[in-house]
Amino acid sequence: MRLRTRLSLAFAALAVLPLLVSAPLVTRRLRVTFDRELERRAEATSVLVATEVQRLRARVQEAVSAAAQDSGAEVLARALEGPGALPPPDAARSLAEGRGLSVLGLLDAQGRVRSSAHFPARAGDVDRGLAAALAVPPGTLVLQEVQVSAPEGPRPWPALLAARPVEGVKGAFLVGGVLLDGTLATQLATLSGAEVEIRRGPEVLASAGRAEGRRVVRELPLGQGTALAVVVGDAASAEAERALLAALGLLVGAGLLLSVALGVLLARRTTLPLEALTRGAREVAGGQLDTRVTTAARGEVGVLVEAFNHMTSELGRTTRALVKAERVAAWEEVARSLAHELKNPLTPLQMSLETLSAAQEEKSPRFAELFAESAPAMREEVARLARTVDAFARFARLPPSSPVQMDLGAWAEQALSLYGVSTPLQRESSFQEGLLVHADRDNLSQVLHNLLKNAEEASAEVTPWVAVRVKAEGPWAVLEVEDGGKGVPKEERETIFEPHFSRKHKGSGLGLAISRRIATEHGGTLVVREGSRGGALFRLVLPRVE
Amino acid sequence: MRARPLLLCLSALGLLSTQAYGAARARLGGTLSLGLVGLGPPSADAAEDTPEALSARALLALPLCRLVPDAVSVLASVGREASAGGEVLVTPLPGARFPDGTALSGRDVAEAVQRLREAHSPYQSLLAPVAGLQDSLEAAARHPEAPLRLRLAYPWPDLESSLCHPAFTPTRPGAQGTPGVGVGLYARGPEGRFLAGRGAPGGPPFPGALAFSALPSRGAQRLLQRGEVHAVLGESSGKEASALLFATYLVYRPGSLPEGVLSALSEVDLAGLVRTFVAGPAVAMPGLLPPGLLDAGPAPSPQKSRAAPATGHGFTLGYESGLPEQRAVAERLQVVLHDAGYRVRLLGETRAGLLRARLAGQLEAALVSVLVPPVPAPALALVLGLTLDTGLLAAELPALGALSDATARAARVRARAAELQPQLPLVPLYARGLRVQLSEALLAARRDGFGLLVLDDAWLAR
Repeated sequence: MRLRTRLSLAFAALAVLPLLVSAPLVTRRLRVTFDRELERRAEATSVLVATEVQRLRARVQEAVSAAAQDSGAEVLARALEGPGALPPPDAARSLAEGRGLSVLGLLDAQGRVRSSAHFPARAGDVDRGLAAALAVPPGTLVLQEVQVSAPEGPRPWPALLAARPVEGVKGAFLVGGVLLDGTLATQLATLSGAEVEIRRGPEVLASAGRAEGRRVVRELPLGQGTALAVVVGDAASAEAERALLAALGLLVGAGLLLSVALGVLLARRTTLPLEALTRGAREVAGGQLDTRVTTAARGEVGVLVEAFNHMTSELGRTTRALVKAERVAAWEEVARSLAHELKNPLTPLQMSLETLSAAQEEKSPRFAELFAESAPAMREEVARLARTVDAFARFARLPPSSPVQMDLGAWAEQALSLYGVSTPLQRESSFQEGLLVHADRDNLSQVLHNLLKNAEEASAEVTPWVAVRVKAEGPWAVLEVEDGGKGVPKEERETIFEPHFSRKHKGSGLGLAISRRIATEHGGTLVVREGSRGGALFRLVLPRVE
Repeated sequence: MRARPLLLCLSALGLLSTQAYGAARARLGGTLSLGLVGLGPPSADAAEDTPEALSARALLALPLCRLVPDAVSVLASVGREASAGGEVLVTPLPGARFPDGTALSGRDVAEAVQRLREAHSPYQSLLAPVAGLQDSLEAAARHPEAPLRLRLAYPWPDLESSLCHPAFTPTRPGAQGTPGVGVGLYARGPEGRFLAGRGAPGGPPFPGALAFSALPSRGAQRLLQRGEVHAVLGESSGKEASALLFATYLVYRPGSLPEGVLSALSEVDLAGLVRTFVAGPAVAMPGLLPPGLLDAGPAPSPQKSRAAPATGHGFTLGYESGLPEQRAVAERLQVVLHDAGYRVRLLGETRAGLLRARLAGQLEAALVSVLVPPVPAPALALVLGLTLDTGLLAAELPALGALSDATARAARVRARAAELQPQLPLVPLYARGLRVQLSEALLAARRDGFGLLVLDDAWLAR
């Protein structure tokens, strides 16, 4: 994984991990706080509802008393007893209206409903719930089930009831109150802001409001198995918790994005000098020893860059010094070789001249004979000297190169046909055509000549066989010359390309050195390997031209 | 002496005397103030057929004829040509004009009948003896100026009186939601007043204008005493004599009611129910027809239920949501049947909605109120039609119509009513009359044969 990626991930982890660790702790703590608040709110709400029920009881008492003292109640009661047309069965409704009574009946002493505001169809019947209210002392509120109308028929419904005699009419009573129904539940729910249920045992008779989320219930018994249930929910706190989690999530997301962006930015700033150093190192490895890294870096990386630049400048300087030393050494080697090569012919020349000089001083009659004998040898040595000097001159001054684009296979085939050999030689050849190279024909001819000459000489000692091949190897064009000789030992496969290394008595030791130099100047190489038949395999590798 | 002939005679005498008195005096004009209790604003094409609504409507849309007690032409003459045999001709009277001045035509009468048929109105049973009614209506539509010809399938002497039913009042529907119009004594004027018009063939009414006002039940009596209103419709004083012809029945789909329900219903104290839940004038109706049309039998008495109540049985009882008294009675029946062990679901609907549900077989029972004609044979035809059994009408009516003598027909009706009642899928409940209170200053206010208020010649004493 790249350093930049690792740094970005590390930044992201640093930004997110604290939030991920702290979020559960915060939410747990928050939940505990909310739970306490929910319990406290349930308690407060139930107290509020209980207080309102107490007020409701008082209001019922007052309303029924007021209705019983209303002249309309007396008129109605007398009309019901009188001989004329009966008032409508819901005539009591006018007494209930405006007094907040959802139940009101005008009853006779036997408990028979004479007029009903809440259930006119019961007029003429005995409603046991209403009649029961007559049995308790005036001023007492009772919870009784009264009959109410419903689409499916009459049904009992709990109601808080109070009874009062109608003022001025004997045997007539008003029984009124409030139904514990949806209307009351709605009032209490609106007042308390909680869900209010009216329960009769396990049955929920009516409910209003809505408590969502986790519900906490407080039950207020009203008697006769009826109770008010006040339900508060944690919807608000759950909403707050959700909002907090959403905010945390947002923070995590934003932190993640920010940290990744920051990480990428910082990592880029951190890794840029390193990448520049890497590029510089590769350039150094590629031979550009004087490479310098120019990047804005401070601190340790800046020191590293500075050290790298110092190193490359030192390396360049050292290399130049080394090259210079090598050049000197090369010149020394050349001088030594030249001295050696020149010294060898000089000794016989000196001895011949001393012999001739002694014979002349002694006026020896054999002077002419000696001169005749020595003169050819001396000429031979002088010629040898001349050849040595020519060879060095050629090594030092190769003819100027005039490269042209040429088909290596076609050229090699043509060149080989013109090449004559002095010894019987079995020759194999294969030339792949169409391999274009950019080369100087004369220089290549010299290389081929050298290689063929070496192969001929090497093969003559063992197997007179030479193979010449031209083929393509990827972007390279390869000219191979293989012989049937004994081959080149591994330890000599490089030294044979050095000047004056020769394994032949008559060689100058510069042929392969010159050939390699030509190969190098053409952007290629010249190497030797072991051939397929144990002999030497020389490979001239040149870059192809597309 | 029976009550009905006596009432009819008194009405006729009163009508003749007031007509003579009104004709002899000068037209005073003035505004007659009418209070409406529990009623909507009067309309010529109101669907309600309560006596109060019909009385108010009759001021704006006159019927074809009035029964006093025989049919007296108001907008059209209804008669038979001797040569036509079993054909009744309904010929609009000259001078009968709608408020826009166009004359009443036979097509208007035909369209009134057609609307009844399209609404499946129970009153179309009154035309059950007519053969090829659709052809007659289409002929009237093609020839508007010609009289409407109704061909009888069998002898039916009471068709003329049947056509006097307010249900056949010709009206023209209003355009795009506006109220419909009829040939009335009054037409809508400014400030919600109704001004006397000249569209009626009998000439303009005596009061020059009418002013309707909606009143609460409590204040009506006080306003009457102060003379601020001259008549209150919808509130009874208990003093006004009235024909009790607005009859209410419980009709049911045969075989759909739980076992024992009919027995439980027969034990309902109808008199107590009427006294407590139906504002008067009203009486329990033990027989198939309103008491004025039948012999006065023994008053129904409440009976204790001895049968074990059925359990787990329920049915739906529909009632007309526009009739508060039906709702009160339905709720009372629900209570009574609940106490007897039945579960009754109430369904408040329009009359058309209830009829649709009944025709579709979706309703087990319903309350139906109709204004029964004061003539026995058409009355029986109307009640038999409530069962939605057309075969029953075809079986019963020809034998009645074959009796040319009115007394004999009435006797036959009473006998068949008594015989048919146990077999019919309906339970008669009560009949009531017009709820009206009249100011003592209002003179010459009459009632027609249906018990509806007629104010054509009414005037105010100074």
